[in-house]
Amino acid sequence: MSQAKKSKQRKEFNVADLDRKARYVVLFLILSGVFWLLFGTLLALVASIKMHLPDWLGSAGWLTFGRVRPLHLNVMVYGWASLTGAGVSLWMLSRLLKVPIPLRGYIIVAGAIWNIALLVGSIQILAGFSRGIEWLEFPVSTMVVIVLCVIIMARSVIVMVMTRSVKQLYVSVWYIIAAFVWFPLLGLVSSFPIFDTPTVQAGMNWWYAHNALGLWFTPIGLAAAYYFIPKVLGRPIYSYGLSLLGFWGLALFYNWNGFHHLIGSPLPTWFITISIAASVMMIIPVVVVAVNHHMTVVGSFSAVTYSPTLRFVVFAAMSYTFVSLQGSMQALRSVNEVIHFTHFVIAHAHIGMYAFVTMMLFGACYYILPRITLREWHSKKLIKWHFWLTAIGIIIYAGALQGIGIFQGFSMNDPDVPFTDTVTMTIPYLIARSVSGILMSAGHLIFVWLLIRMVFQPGEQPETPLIWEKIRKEFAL
Amino acid sequence: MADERYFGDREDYQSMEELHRAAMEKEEQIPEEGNERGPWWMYVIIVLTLAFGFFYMGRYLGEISDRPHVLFAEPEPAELEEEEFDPMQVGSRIYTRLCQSCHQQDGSGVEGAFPPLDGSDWVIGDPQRPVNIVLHGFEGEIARNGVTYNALMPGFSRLVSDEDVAAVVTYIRNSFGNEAPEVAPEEVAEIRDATQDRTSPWTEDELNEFIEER
Repeated sequence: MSQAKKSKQRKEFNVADLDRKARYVVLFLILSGVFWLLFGTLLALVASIKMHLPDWLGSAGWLTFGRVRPLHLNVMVYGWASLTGAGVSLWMLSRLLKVPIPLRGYIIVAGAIWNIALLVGSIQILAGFSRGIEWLEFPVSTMVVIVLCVIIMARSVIVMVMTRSVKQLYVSVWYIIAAFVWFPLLGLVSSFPIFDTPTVQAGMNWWYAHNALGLWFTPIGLAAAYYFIPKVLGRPIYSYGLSLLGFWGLALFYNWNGFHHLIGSPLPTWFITISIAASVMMIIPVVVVAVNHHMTVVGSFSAVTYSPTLRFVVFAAMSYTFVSLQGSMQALRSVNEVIHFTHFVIAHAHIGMYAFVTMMLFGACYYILPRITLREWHSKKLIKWHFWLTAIGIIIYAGALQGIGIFQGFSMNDPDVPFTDTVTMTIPYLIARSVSGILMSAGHLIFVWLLIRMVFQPGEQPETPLIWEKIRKEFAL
Repeated sequence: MADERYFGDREDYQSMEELHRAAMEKEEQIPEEGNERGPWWMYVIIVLTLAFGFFYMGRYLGEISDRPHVLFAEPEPAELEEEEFDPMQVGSRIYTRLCQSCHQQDGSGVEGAFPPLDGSDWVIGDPQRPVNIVLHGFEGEIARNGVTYNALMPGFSRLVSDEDVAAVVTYIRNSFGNEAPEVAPEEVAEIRDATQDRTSPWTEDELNEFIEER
């Protein structure tokens, strides 16, 4: 009886209402993320330039490579990608389930605490209090605070799923639910003080680091791809069955992948062999997802010229396919023997976190922000610049470092080549890396400028919708 | 007509905000997914990947235990090749590691401090002298070709085996333009035995005395 009453009372929300309610929460999370993107970009440039000018800014302890580089990683991962990713996920979920984001006040408080935790953690790393574990350099206290903030958001996710006013759960919803369950688990387990022996700690390290990418950022990124591609094109996703296969393939195989970072370590061989096999198995969900996305877009590729969202999202989806297949190859012992401990792996990680995750989030921002602020992007031209600077930047980055990484690997395996030669041979490519870093930084600055124009409205605002107009004409919607 | 679905008549709306709101209210839901089966080659890739995964696990699983790094179930016994002992090669390696920093790569020494090895009568003469100096070191003044050298050379008896001493002495006796017979490890062992009580480096007089006694 009361059940029936309740469902009667439940209001039917249209997207305008949903976006209005999501406005401050999502805007806050995205803007916080973009702040950390800028800070992380600065750290990235410093770290990159230090690779070929090692004495530069070397006099102060807190500016040394060993502190700047880990902080760059942590700020990008837990600041930019996580905060923005959480905002994008909550927004998508609200629209897909047709309920307003619940617990909005709590989420904003959690977001604020998260930002403070990042600030404290950054100071701690710069002051030298790093945990010394890659991807987990923030002290445990900072990490636990961040995980608790994600748990609050996860609570909101679960409430949305429970109170949804649609029957079917779209594929993006599966990925987002999974991400918000998996990440708190990863974060808490990695914070337990039970991984103190060196070998076990290394195992935990790569289990965590690889899964943070694969079970937190990848699901968010794929959820965005599954949402925005059909949304922008107005075409259905190619196949529900393939979506299902892709999701469960990721859920089944990804968790085992991390130990392929530890080939040749004292971990038992069977452990690493299973990890390598699982890494190769990732080919299945990756190819399935790639086919699903490609077949959805195919025939409408011209839309990427008009929709900045689609341009970023398609680039990101292609990068996902590329980086994942590359990862499966890299896991094999014979390949790993060459590329391990070279710049190849650094570039691989950046294709994952930048060409896939970051570009996907940029694409999502271009779609979401006009809708939650009800304002228009300031300049189409600048959006194009943003895309090409970042896209060309990451391509140069990956090309230069992966190219030289292979030669570096063969030289390091050759006992006749002195170690110093394997370092000096990379210098021109490290300079290319800094140049590509400058391109990407310029792209970020353009993005931030567009964001400031939209949100804080200095100067004149455009009078007509810049982007929709074009799409509308082209597709005669 | 189609235009109206998105923006209606432009005149009807006052602000950008209203334009957006109007557009959003007409925004379409994501169309329901299709249910295509996918191309055939995708299934070929899936089957091949599964096959590879099982093959890889079967081939490289090794021993399932908590023992560290048991590579494969039955490691092939490594066949150790009997490497021929080349005193010049071994000597060259030891020279680079222990001697070169003072006596220089070309054995020319440093004027006033470290005597040269090229053309030195002690190096190419009685092998007992160089062997003794390598084992126990050398100190005090020594004059050669009108130049006086004075520096402390430490003894290496604890660091190097008889074979290594023989090799490095053979090396300096046959490099830098020197030419002299090889020194055998047995000779080194004999000298090491005879001088085992020695704790300080040789001086020129002591060494000459020792050689004359023998």
